[in-house]
Amino acid sequence: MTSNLLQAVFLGGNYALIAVGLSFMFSVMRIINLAHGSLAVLSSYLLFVLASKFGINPFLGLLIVVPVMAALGWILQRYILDRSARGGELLPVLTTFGLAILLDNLMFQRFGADTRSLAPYIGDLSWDAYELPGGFMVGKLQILTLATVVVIIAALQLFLKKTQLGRSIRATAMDPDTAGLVGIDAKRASAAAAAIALATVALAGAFLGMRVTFEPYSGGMQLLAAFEATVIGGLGSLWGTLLGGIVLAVAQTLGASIHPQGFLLGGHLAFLAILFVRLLRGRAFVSAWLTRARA
Amino acid sequence: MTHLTLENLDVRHGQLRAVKHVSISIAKSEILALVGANGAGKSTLLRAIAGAHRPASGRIMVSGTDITPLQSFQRVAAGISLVPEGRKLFQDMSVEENLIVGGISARKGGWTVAKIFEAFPNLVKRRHAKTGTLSGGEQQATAIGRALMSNPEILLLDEISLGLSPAAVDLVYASLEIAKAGTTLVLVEQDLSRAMNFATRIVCMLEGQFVLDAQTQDVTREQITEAYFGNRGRGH
Repeated sequence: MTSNLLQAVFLGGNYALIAVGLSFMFSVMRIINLAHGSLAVLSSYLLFVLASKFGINPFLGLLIVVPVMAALGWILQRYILDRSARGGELLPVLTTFGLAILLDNLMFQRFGADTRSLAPYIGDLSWDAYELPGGFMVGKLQILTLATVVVIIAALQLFLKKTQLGRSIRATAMDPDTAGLVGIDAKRASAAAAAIALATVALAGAFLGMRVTFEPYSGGMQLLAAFEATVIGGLGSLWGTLLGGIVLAVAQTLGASIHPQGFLLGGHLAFLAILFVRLLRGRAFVSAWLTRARA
Repeated sequence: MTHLTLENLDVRHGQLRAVKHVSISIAKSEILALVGANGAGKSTLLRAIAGAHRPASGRIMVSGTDITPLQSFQRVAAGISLVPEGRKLFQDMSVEENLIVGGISARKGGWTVAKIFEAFPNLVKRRHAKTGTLSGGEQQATAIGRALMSNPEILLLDEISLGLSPAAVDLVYASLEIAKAGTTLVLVEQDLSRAMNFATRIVCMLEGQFVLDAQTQDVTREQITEAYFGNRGRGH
């Protein structure tokens, strides 16, 4: 059981890696990007094409795919989401929903229904493991994934706090109108944030393809895991997203230990339980505040 | 020399014409107080000059250059800075961070974070405090400091004494004495005595139009009050 829980923590790292971009984009642009999972799968396919057609190792391939996805994020925000946001709050969400369907079907058309994997292109990393004290085995790839997500979150926090662009992005997230009045190009800040979010999606896609197999319609499950991890961790909090990913994975593992088919159900129940608690506490908080305001 | 010129400016909120066909020339280093009842269009006019509202028609010129097509962040680079009504600080950021953000599109000039803390000594000890925890006076000082960080030529101040204690208002106006050197100021002020003490020129707005425009020394309190309530016709 201890071994299972340890594995769950590392699985949580995978969920957090896919969730961190979703959480970042939500906190800055207030957009829930429903194409998030499909974009991760697109990154997996891009790396797969580079590896199978050109013999480029997926880690080297990231040098190409990360900038490509970042550019895609910039274009997506600047020319699609920013425009659809003028039509109200709901329109960007619907737009990303449409984009997810479009991407899934384009990938199906191009790559067919075969499942693919990046595992054959990364040598022994895909199966090799370290033995920890106490006889626990942990996969090298799992350790690398968790380390990657910790580095990404720490780097993002530092970037947001210490750099001019990071401060511009935070100011835009808090109040785009005032950000413009103090001299910040709010559209540019949002586009940069989307580019950063999609750069993390490229990394998430890489680790997804190395860990498991993927096919054109894998994006939905990735989105679901990312969304649950984001909500469990508290919307928009980056370290919270890591915790959310781990809680989700532990709940799934506990679910599976109760019933062989309980893996996904365990995660969903944890998600719903935490969502419910948040709603109740939120309401309690609001009513306490109203009472104080009236007094 | 004319610094800021508005030509037939019309600003709308949907169907409502908040500012109607307004024209004015403001000279360099002039201190203009905009007075008028709530809903007269003062804030809307300032926001239009700062680029937060697109005018429906008309032009805004700075030193003879048409800046009407520029967006708000570009107008900061063109030398216009607004201290918005309600201060609108970035609440999750510290005082210092708010000031740094104000300097992102800064023009060349003398203002630095250190200079702002010299001009607003009451902020020094709150340097790393989140702005949500500040008193009203400290928040207003931070908002003015943030606007000064861009080294504006034209500083627009919207209701800076609103909700502050008289002592805090004194402090804010004392610090404006430092800010006004070489800067053209346009301020919206509800307190007529303060407006008359501080400004060199008074403009009164009523229902989106200018109904009085005079040098402060040439106008009496009574004349302004009449214009304020729209009784101009009765006395004449």
